[in-house]
Amino acid sequence: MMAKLSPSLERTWSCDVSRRRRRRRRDCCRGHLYSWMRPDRPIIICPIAYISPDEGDEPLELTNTDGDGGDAHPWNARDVGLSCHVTTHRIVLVDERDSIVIGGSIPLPLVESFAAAGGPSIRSPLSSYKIELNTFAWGKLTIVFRGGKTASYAESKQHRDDALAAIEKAMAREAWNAKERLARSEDKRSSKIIAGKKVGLDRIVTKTELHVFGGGIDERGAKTDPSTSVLKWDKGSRKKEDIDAFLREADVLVKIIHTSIAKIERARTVGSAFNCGEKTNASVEDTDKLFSLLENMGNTSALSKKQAGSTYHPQLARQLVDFLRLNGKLTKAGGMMTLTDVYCLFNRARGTNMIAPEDLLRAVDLMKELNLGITKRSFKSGVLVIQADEFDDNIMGRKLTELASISMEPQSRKVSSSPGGITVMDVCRELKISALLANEQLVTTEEMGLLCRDSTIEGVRFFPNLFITGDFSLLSGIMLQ
Amino acid sequence: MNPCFDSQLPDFYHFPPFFTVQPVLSTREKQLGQWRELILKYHTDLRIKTLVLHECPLWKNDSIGRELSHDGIRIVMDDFVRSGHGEWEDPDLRTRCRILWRKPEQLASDIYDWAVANGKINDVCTVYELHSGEDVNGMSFYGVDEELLRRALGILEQQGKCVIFNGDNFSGDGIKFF
Repeated sequence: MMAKLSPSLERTWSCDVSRRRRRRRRDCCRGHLYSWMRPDRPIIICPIAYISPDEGDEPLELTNTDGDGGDAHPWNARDVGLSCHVTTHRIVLVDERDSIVIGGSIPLPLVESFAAAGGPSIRSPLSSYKIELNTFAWGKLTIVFRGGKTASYAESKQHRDDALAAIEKAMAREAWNAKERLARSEDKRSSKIIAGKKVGLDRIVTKTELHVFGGGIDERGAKTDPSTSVLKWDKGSRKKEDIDAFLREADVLVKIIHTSIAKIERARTVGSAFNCGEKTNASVEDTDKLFSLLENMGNTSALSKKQAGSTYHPQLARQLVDFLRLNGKLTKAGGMMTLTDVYCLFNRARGTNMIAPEDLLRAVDLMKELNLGITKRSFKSGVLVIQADEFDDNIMGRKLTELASISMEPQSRKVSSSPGGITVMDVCRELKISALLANEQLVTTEEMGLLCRDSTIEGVRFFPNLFITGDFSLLSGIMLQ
Repeated sequence: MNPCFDSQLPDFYHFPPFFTVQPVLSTREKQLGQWRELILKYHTDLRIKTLVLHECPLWKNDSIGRELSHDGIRIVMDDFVRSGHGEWEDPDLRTRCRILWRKPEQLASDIYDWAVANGKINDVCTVYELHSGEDVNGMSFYGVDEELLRRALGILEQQGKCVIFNGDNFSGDGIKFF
């Protein structure tokens, strides 16, 4: 009961049953006191639990009409003139008066069951509408919605029903367990791993995106089917919980993104409304600042695909090219380098203020547009390299074919029984390039028709393509066995 | 491998990549062509009528330590059959393939030329004589499969160069050349 619930977590349904008259102040502040701040009125809440055992089944009645004056009854006697509010975590009953408001609450985790009661029956046609609660702590409690001066009989039924619906909703949701549940499901989510590669706001957006829109793993450890995205409400109440969780998590974030996008759009349309050249300097500057801010935060998903206004990546591209041409790094490597190699070398050289892999990818994409003499190239197997413009596949092809032909001569073979041909390792050794690159280049040369392959359980060897040349004189070296 | 054939093995038989089906299509075409030649030559020279897939010694070359894999064998055989040089005796299982040493059309023209050369025009001879007779010794259709012969004769009939008389069995059938 001492737990203080911050107002932001607790949501209140407006089940504001009628206000009524003030009552004389009672001395009811026993037990623990804690304050629950509402923006307009500070109130003091004290727990209700004062039902003493000798009162027996006497229910706690809290009625709406002004009732008997009553003096120093404890709070839990027949209190009247209260308004009933149902929040996500408890039922709050508030007695308002001039300057100070007193309230009490029944925490919902302690409510075992609730039921509607009362209503007109044969014996008492005007019996009030009630809600009966079974609690773990105080036994049975009844909240009576009595018709009378402040609300008619029919209205009180409506009030009772509203209150009941709100309680039902809160009990179903079990918001007091939400944090635990969320924490449990968090750990199992694969979207975390995928999003782990992103930075900042981008990470949060991607994470929630994957979680909500599919491709993730739900609490039960089963794969969520992207086609049954949580946004389909008819898929059962379970998904509604996910959606609530998503909303909670992403609420603030989404607001930020939307406002920033809106600002950008507005600035753009304003800018474009003035025909070319007439844009207000301020608005252009602002949008640029906004873009760079978003980029710094890693919030790339809020921007459009095209590079708009940021100069970071073009600059980085130029820096990269300068770095690679310095001391002929690229030429030493044979005119071609894998992106991983570039990344490692560059960051090692930088020491601090290193670049992110995504920055490298983007910068490399820009290199072609900027005409820097180095371009990206992607092989069929998926390997990404950068390549100097002077690099020619044909030259490499000829080099490799030569190597292969030499390998078939009898004197160059160390072991007489080896069949000749070159492997990836041979090429690495000769050309001083990495195995990955060597493999790619061998395959490219094969596709050009200059080499053919011999694949065994030992591996793949490449021979000069004698099928095409038709000249099998080279084979004489092998056949002398 | 049959010793009398060993000396006739083509150069590329000792080329290791020959036993790997090439991924690059242009190279593969050349390679399969060479396989076709090899199979045909082998069977024609040694007068073997049927190729039993798992018994054929061509798939393996021990001198260089290379052999064609099962998938490779399939590919080579499918290409062979597609080119018309062979026919599956059991199309479902594809274990035995009848080798057509020469295409039926070629056989037909060969037979007719022989008939002309030996003055068999307007003369009758039996099918048996055609594939196993003394006169025929040394000709391309000597010892040829009966099925094949039948087809070749069928073609000749279509061309109007001969006519077939039914005998007791196929071997006893008579053929008259025009």
